[in-house]
Amino acid sequence: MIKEETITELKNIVGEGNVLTSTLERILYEYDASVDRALPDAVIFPTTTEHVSQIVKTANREKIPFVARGSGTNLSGGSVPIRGGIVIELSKMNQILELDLENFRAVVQPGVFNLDLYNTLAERGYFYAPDPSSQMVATMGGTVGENAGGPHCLKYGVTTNHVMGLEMVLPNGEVIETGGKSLDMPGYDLAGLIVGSEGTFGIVTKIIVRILKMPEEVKTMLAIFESLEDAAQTVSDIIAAGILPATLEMMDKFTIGAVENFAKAGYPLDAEAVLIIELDGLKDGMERLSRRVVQICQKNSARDVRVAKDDAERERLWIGRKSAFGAIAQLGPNYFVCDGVVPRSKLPETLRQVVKIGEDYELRIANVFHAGDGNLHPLILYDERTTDINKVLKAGMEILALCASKDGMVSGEHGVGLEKRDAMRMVYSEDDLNVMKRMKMVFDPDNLANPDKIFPQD
Amino acid sequence: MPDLDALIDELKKIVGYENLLRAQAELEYYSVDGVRPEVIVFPSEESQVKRILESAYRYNAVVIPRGHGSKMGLGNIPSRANIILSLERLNSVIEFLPDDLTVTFQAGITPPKLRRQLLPKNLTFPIDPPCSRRTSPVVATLGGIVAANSNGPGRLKYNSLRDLIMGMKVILADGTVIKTGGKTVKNVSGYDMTKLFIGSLGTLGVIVEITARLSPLPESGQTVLASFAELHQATNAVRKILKSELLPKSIELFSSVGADLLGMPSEHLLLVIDIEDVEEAVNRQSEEIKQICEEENVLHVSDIQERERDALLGRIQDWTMIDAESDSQVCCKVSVPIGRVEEALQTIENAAEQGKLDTAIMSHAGSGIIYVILTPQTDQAQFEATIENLALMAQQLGGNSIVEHAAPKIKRNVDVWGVKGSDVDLMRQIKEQLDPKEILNPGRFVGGI
Repeated sequence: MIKEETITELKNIVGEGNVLTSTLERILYEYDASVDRALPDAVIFPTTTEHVSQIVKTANREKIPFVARGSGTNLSGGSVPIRGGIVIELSKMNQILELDLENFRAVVQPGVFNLDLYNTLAERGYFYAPDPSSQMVATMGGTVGENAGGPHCLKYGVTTNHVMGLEMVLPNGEVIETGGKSLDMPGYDLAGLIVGSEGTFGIVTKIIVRILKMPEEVKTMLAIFESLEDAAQTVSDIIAAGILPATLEMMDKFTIGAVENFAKAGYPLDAEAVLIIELDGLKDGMERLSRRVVQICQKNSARDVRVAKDDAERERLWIGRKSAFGAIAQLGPNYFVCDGVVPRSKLPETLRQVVKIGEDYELRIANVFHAGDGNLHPLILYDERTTDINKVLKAGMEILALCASKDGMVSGEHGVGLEKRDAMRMVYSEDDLNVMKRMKMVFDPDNLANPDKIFPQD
Repeated sequence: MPDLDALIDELKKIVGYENLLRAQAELEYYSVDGVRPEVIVFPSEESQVKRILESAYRYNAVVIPRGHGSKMGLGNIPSRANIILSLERLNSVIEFLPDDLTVTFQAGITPPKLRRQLLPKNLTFPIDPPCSRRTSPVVATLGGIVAANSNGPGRLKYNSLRDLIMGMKVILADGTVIKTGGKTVKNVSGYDMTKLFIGSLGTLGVIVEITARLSPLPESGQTVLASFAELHQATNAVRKILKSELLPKSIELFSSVGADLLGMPSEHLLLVIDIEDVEEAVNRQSEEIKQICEEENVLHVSDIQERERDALLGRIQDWTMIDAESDSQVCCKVSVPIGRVEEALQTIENAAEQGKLDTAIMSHAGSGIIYVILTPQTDQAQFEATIENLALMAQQLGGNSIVEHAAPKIKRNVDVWGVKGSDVDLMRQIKEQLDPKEILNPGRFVGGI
């Protein structure tokens, strides 16, 4: 519990209305999009960097743990306040501070929604590449914390490839800047280290991102397959042909059924797998490349390949994919999302074994994935009223162990958070983890910033 | 002072007598900014590197990692030097997975050697830093290129090392071997330690293995050359190209002296725009770029292909090496936001004029990076003041300026890394955590690290 006078002090920093302490209000902040929960002692809404710094100084003096939070869409328990303490909710720091088109940069506060930045830029002919499926409400701060990906990361890279500079409040309240609008700032690449650190190093209060020009032309295709293997082989063959599409997304039969029912995108219900393939870039040569892609699909026994004729059709294909996680909810009351990643060529065999794991545990598993990156998202369906959640978690762990055994990693884009702490040892030695722990020591010697995340708990 | 004789005996046992140099002339040759080491060792296996570091750690001996020496001029003067640890014999490809577009190699391999092995699969590691061609004055090792975060003109299209490197094996100061990252493009499993080691100049650990992502070889390429009378015409052309749909591989702007050094004598500014893409897109981009140049009153515009193009790209890549051995010249690297190159170029000329220095300039104009070689006009030239002015100017423009190479006599009076940021304390603490005895490349890096 936080002392009454500390609460008063916090209220003096941000104003009475920006501190929530009632049980009812706090319960709304005990969870994210994963399965873990923990109740914070207080929720605070800062509006300036100075607020964040003062809140953190107070927390540090009183040794109260704190967790930065955006919209809570993260999928691994990263924003669950496991030790209670203060949730620093950044949704009111939601300004796009600068659209610096001349320098191909945008400067934003952490509470800006990813899609708002995208739309603001799109009106001007530019875009910000990372596009997590939750982008309608996912905040930029959250995507920095989790190094979020998205379908377009195949060609354009993940969040870390687009973050040029950060302003951050360290756990002692000090404000630092690292990186900037220009390339190659001297010294260690702290921005690179901070992106994906899941809020365990401090609180990011300003983000400088790289923006790109909208591609001249986009071609979106839907390829329909009778088997998952054929679809997976097509992915490998497209890359091997020297073509790097903007996206290569795959959905299995389970997912297709759920999505079609929901989005009416025209997906065939009897297909075993579909691929959404999107090429973008200059219009020149695009026709030839897309014909080549169609040929590769056909060589791998695609039943049909449809090319979106206009933006509306393209939009519909994407609504299906982007709403997949939501649509899956129709198949069962609950689902658990895994986020393993394997080298692309190991996708077909990994998939086969994921199906096997589902059978072994008698659990239904739907598969949606960023096939081009080798990033799997098996969705394990269950009903929390009748299924033991530990069985689900165990199946999830087995899938991660499978990915690790294929030279893969235990998180591609959702982060480790609480959920995958114990999976870290599948891919890292004690020495590897020890070096990471020393980084935590540098930034947060008192272990107050989002404690107990990422590292295995002994 | 470490007990060197005992240490050297240990090192001999590790690498063998024949793989260790101690003659005076050799120590002289391998000195770093005039600081002489006591011994140079050439391990040929990773396990030997580990044992060398373990021994050095026990004796508190300073270790300076080295590839082929092309980056030894980068950084401040080292505070000490005992062992030069050469990685040049760890030069194999460990695993090439063409279907995954990844390759894992040892740190001592050179780019040409790596590229040769990727070629049969029509793939390449798309980097073009200085010293990365067969024809370069020195051919750098990839370990050195990565440790120095050395990038080239092609980063405009293919991005930088931090975007292309997925994982590493690093040996820490005490001999602990760690793995960072992995073999997948996406990875948020724990902290991204790989980023920390890229550009750390050997001050945090010795990189022994690197996993990188590859690209298909481009289908076609062409280079457009354009000369302009006025700076604003050239920079306007650059701005228009960047704002268009076009996606060239590199946009290089040379001052007339800069163009001379390239072997393209000119009284004017020279813009060199390289394009790599599918054939249709190359032709169209070349035409539209020429069109844009015409709009900006270009004096002369032409294009080159194939061997002529390749040779020119090679000279551009190695342009900064022209003065690398010079005792009297200094090369600075100024980095500013992309749109402020014109302003930066004018300020550089003014600062140089004040300091009685002549300039030769090459700029990766599409990336905001400017290399300037400063040559004294008289013996009254004011290097130190000019270097400091450049750093302040770059900071005002939202960037930075560092000294890429300079003679030790100049380095003694300036910090080659320019103006320190508010993040330098964190950097020092990271160094302290990973190298508490300060035995890896001490003194050369930012903030005295």
